[in-house]
Amino acid sequence: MNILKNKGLRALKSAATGLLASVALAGVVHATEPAVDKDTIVFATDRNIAILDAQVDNTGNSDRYHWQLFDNLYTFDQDGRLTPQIAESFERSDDGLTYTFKIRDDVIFHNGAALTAEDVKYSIERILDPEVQSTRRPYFATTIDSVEVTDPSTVVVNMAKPDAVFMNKAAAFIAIVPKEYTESLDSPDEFARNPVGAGPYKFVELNVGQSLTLERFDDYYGEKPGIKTLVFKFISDSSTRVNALLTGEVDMADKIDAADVKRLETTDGIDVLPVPTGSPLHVRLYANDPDSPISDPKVRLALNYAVDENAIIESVMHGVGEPLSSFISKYYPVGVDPELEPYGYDPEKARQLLAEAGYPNGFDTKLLCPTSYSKDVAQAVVAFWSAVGINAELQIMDYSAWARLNNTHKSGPMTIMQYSNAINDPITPIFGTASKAGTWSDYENDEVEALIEKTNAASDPEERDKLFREIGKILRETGHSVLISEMFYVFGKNAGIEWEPQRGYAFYNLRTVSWK
Amino acid sequence: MHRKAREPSVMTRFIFFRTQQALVTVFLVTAIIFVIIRLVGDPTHLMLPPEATEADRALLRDEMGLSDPIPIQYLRFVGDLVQGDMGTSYRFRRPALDVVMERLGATLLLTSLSLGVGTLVGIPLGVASAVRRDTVVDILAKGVAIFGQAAPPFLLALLLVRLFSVELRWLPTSGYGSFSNLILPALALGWYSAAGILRLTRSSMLEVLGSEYVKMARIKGLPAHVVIYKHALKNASLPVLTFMALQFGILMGGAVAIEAIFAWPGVGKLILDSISNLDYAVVQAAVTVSALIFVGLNLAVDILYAIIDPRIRLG
Repeated sequence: MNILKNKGLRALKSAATGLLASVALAGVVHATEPAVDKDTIVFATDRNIAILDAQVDNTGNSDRYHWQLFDNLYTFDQDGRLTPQIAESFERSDDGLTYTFKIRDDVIFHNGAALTAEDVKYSIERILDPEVQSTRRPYFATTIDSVEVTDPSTVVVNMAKPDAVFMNKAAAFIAIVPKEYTESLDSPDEFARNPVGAGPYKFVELNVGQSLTLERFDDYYGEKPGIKTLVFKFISDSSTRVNALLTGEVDMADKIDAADVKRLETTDGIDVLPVPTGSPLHVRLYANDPDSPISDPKVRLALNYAVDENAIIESVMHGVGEPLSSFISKYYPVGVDPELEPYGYDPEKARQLLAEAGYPNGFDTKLLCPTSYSKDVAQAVVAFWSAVGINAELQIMDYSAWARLNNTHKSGPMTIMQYSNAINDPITPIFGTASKAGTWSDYENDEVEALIEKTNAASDPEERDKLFREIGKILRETGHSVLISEMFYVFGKNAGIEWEPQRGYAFYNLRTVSWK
Repeated sequence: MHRKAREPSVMTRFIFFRTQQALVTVFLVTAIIFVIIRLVGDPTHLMLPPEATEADRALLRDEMGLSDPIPIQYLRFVGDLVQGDMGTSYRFRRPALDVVMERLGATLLLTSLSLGVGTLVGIPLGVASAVRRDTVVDILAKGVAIFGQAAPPFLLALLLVRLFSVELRWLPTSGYGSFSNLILPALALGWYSAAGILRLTRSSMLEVLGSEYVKMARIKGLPAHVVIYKHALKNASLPVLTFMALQFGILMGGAVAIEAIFAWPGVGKLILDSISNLDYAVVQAAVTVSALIFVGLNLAVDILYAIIDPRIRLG
């Protein structure tokens, strides 16, 4: 009951917020002082943090604390390239079946224990244990065969089958935890409340529903944070996050509403940082249903040419977006072809393609849009289509209900969605949406299938780059999906803060954040 | 004498009957929410990455105890429930009841304070506007009531934040824990509550003021304040008291938007988050606890009414 009420009111509420935004903002002077002091940063985040186990929690929740509390074998640099963390180096056997990691000898956990190869082995095996209920398990369950410690600083991972992006997955998902401490706890759940990692911040307090407090770990082996205390405050309402930023109650805030960006940009003492997530916002097309008009590539191209993505980005997304020229976001470190251009807006061409495909008067169809994406964007897409005769009925659906349909090929014939860049390699969106076996794939193309097969054997970045460029081009030519926009996370911060944000989906890297 | 001796047994039977009814209601509510939340979706789809296969999801469902048929899951839930166990939250990795009880205090604090504001504003203003009907006081009071009922509490909340937090910097924009955090949310929700109380007080005062015995009291020459506060308000307050008890439940539900705006760690926001995350155990626990409070309040009102007006017991 409350839910319905809340949803109904949401539209009214955003209207009210907009109205308020335009009222008397000239009078607002931003407080330039830190919320607490220059040794503390208070970060307003939109979602509650419920647990602190980066091995169990999924990326959409662990994003805020994984980078601060835990270190991994390898990690990503700001551009998404692999870089060593607690492993000094790794060696991959030619057949791709063994990975040998050399572990640093100067790494200490937050509880004072020295990190050894045993902890690495334990950490990997803990993820694979079904009882732990790790959400990371599916990334490794079928590929990792066993983990061996050959000496205190060497770990060997034996693979059941090669996985060209095993290192990317390890960098994104294998948080290293201390064996002795974790084993001494009564249940896996206890770790989630008292986490111990080897990251640059250690856990102080989780005030459920309110805040999370972390503190600089002074024995960290790498570059230490420039602040002593990092506090996450959970503020779910976006206008409240903006207000708290304006009054100086918080120093930083995430998920700034696109509608607030221009207004914050013009406020003295506040910076707005749009960070590309490398995740294409698109319309998933059920292309392999032979009875559907969408099975014809010409129709799929027409759907693309009919949409003016620049207009949508400018007026609906308030400028927070960028047109896509390929399904592979240009913020991936490999597979980006600068030669490709966005489809562009060409309704004449769309009509012509429709006529060639045998639909001169268009056709009736349906577009699903989960509540997690902008309903306004979906409405704009539908409006552009109707201008060329394609009459799509828009259906908005709660995200949690939609997720089940979308994961089981029941969200057709079309749905708005994005594909998160979680491991900085395009294999996830490509395999996921363009291979026969992909969870979100309703597209079949033998050429693409063969190229994907080749990427499985290619771990060299240059080779992968070439293969993915080719795949991106074919997908574009065959109208694999309707490309709408690159997605951005918009952060707001006090201008006195220095921060180099991390590209990619769900990466809150606050290791280097500090006051100027 | 004889009648008086029979009195408690009628009352006891009434209370027993109503309590039974209330428990059946709570039981039905838990059964309905149990089934509905499972029909909405499957949490393993939200927890696991898109790379996960159906086998991965099946394994996780098994670990979470979600692979059995719904009736069997429900029997297990009821079996645990009678032992005070409402299951474990997958998001919080803790007993769901603990998660709910932690938040209940924040919601009850906000709700009772808002009702307090509503009463302190609503009753005096309601009386004044009835006594001074069609004067400036009345028009002003009507304005307060109309705005409070027409504008949803969150709109008022946003306006209050804009004025007192962003422009004047007197009060924090959000948060929980100190008295200054409490003022704006209680005011926003209290205004809404005051509007209803004010209107009801006004109309029942008008009714009572027009009655024969009040006219009689006036003719007898009693001072105006004695007539108004002793004779009239006492009689006019009965429906208002009932309304306030029900308002408490309504405010608990209506606090969701206010909790979100002020980052208030209450149950409403918890239920909302738990539904969108399909955290079955927390939804069930929170709904069961809320239903108990709501039904308990209604029961208290029923009994109160029966004590005051014996005719109700017959019906």
